[in-house]
Amino acid sequence: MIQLSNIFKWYNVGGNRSFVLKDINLTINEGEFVSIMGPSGSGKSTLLHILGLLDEPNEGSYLFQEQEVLHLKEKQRSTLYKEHIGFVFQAYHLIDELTVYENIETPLIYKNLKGSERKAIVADLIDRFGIVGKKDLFPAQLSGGQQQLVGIARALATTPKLLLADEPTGNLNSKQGEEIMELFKQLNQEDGVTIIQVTHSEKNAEYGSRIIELLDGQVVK
Amino acid sequence: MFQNYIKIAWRSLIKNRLHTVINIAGLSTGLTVTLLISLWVRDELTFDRQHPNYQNIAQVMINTQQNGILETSKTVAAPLAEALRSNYRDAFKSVVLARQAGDHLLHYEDKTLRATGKFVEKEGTNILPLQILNGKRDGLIKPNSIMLSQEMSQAIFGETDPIGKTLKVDDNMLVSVTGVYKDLPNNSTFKEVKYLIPWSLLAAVDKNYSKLEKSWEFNWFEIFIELNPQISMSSVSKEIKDLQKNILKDNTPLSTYSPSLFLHPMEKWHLYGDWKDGKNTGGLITFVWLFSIIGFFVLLLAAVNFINLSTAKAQKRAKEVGIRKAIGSNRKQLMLQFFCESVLTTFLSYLLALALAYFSLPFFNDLSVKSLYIPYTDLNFLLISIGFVLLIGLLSGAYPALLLSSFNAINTLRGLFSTSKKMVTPRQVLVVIQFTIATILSIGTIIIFQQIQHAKNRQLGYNQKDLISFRMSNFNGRNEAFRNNLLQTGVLSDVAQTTSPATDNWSNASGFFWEGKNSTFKDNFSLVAVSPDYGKTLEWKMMAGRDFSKDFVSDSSSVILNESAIRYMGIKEPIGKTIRWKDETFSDASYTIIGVVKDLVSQSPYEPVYQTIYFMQPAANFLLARLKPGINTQDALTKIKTVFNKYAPDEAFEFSFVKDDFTQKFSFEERVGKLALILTLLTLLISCMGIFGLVTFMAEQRKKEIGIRKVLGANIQSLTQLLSFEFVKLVIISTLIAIPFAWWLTNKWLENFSLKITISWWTFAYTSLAILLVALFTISFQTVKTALANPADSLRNE
Repeated sequence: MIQLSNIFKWYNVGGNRSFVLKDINLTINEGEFVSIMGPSGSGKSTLLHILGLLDEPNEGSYLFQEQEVLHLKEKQRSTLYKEHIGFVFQAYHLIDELTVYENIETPLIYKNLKGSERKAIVADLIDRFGIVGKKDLFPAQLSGGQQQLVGIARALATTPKLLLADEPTGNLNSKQGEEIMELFKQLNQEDGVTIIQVTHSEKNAEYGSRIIELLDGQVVK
Repeated sequence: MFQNYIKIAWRSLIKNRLHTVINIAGLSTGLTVTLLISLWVRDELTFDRQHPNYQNIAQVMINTQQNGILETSKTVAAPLAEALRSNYRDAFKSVVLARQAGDHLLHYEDKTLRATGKFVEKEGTNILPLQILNGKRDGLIKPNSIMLSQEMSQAIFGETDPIGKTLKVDDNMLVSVTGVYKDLPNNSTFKEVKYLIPWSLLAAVDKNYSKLEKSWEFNWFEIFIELNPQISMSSVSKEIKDLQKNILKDNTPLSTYSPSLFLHPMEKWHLYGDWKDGKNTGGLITFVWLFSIIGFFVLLLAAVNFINLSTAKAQKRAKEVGIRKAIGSNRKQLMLQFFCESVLTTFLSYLLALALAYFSLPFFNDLSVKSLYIPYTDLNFLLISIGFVLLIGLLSGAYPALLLSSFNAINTLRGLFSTSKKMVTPRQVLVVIQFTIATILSIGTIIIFQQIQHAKNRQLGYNQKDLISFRMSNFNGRNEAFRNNLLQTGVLSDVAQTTSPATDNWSNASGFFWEGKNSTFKDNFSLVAVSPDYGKTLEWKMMAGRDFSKDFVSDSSSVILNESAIRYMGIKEPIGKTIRWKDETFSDASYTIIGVVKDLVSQSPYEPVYQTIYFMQPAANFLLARLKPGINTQDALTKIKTVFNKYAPDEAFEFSFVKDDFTQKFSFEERVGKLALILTLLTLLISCMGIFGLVTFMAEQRKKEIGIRKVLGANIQSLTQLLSFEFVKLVIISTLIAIPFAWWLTNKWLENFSLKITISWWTFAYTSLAILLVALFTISFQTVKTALANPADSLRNE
């Protein structure tokens, strides 16, 4: 599904190149649940951003479903987001002005689905995530765990094949974190969603089927 | 999707309340000003457009050579009408001779009214934009007829049918009502014409008129023409140019004025009424342009606020942009969303502006002397409004939309977003534009008021205190008895008669000869006939010689000149010298100069006093009387009225204080000044709202920086300075840009006046300083608050 070859990413600092990623080669198959681990500054977030096309490497190639996806135009990129990729952020990144329901609905609007279809999908998700009672609340009225549930629900609304999560439990307490991780595992096993998560926690990493460890921009394991 | 945009836009407005209030307040103020100015401009541009054939109607005007310059006049000699008619039969559908509108007394049974009307030839009913309500359109065929405006008809006859009723006009004309027309609209040159009387009656009752009708000497009358269809105005205007010159032949005294004729089209009467050296130099059109530009600028300022605040808020919106991009929104959709917000804001502001305009319209009408209204139900108005809201919304939303939608998703989501330098510059430029305009307007307003004050402080040459003036028509022969009776009331200290009001000159003439006059010099004087008590009553100041006196029988052939006249004529030792007044038609007499009087400011307070000759003659149009000091005015007026009614039972007693009449002369400039003042205050208000909004967002953005600085030991004063300096810098730059512009503009304006102030540097200095202080005061609320904030809070939030 994903094939990264010879990915380099660097910043020029005072005439020197400071490498964030050095020669990353990585293959991830459909249905995998991958955890990327590593200390601060090891480049794991950058790697995730490159995987999510939010950032571009300086060198290398990235095949997504056998297709080169680097240097895409904005329009093609937004199509990829709409069709195939869902994001879950550490800071949830819900839209403050929208209710829970509307937050989940927004990507479907961008996908140009009809009102009735959107309604069905959102209702289904709300039901499944057990947030029916919260659907008319605004993000500020929810706890962190609940906000992250909404964030995941929103990411799943377009039924993406790939879910990218950047420290999804970083702002949560351990109990909330466990719930989210259970949810991920379930999504991976029952719905076949490919998941790549960045995490600090060994325990969370264990939920995945494979762990990639980064150190100083290189894959060490 | 669209519904979704509106929803988000609405919530976003509610959430950022301060921002929304500043935006809507600023934008609606700007829109109100624009709306009012548009109504005014529309009214001005539709002036004299009521007549279905207005494009074919014109007034015949004349240029004459006067001592080397071309003088343009709207009034021409009476025989010209016949000459035009017979020489250009094909061109003109009608040629109408008319007298300038004037006041006359209308009597009906026991009612007497003074009102303005016009003597016109019978085809005049086709030239004026009349809408006949009752009676005939061609009501001026018989000499003894009158056509009344609806208002006049109401005032005289009430609800009864006026047609066929007989009125007396002044004391010598009996006329019967043949028609009633709808009151002429305010934006018609003829708006003051309350009745029409046939020209033929004038000649029948006044023997002078039969002479005047044949004389080429007196350019006293108006001629209006209507062209036949398909005839070109400009080519006829060229054809008639030399008509009068050719008729007069060479070598006659009148031909030395080398008269040249032309047509001034009706559609230009109002807006293009100024002439210089025979050329049209515009006129009120300047104000139409000026106010349009000002309206545009005020709107621009309000739009600038909108743009500034939206971009200042960018940091807050950046996260939302990032999320939306990451969940599949493309740039077009994002821009559409921001446009929705700006259009919604504009729409709300426009609704508020309509309400504001509605409430301020009476005041604005008062100021502009118009009766404007908002045409709510007019479909065009609604369509234009909608178009306007969309346009302003899109224009002011364009830059924020482009900017916000351009954010890179990853940077905004990682929190790497910073107010980069690229965003600061346009905003600074916009603030500078705002304050430049505000400064220019402030300086301009101050100069206008200085100029008015300057003219008000002028030495008048007479005493206005307690001086009242009232009109009268027919006292000839009883002047002395009337005066004595008035003085016997005990409320007046003196009474005098004159042909011109104290605040105007009604009569001008040429044909004077004096020792040392150059034979090619074309003279012109103001003439005032007065009673012997005139000087005493007005308290004028004799500079040489003596005042008129009843004791000298010879004083009926004596004259008093003002100082300007002495300078104008170049006479040394004027007392005892003789001047001769000779014209072709009426007069040939000699007069002895017995005195020179200090100039009396009677016409424009901004112009030098015109050369004036005072005669002692019994003719009178006005009575001037000075109340004794400390007298109860109401009581005194009642007593005067009693005497007045005894001597003039047919006349309406209408008085005014000379001081008020004089104050009237400033009304135009004062109106302009007031309008400028209001616009200045609004501009300042909008600009201040703008920087207030900006400083609020800046304070938020720099919260962390301020917190760190505080922890490092910065005190409140230095922090306030730090925050204020950004804006102070911009205001100072604006001032530096504004001053040369303001200097140039105010000088240009002052060129309209002969007597004017010299602009002093402190006007600029003080105004700039004042604006700086206002700006500082505005931002101080926020800067001090930010500087006082507890660093623990701002740092913890991070």
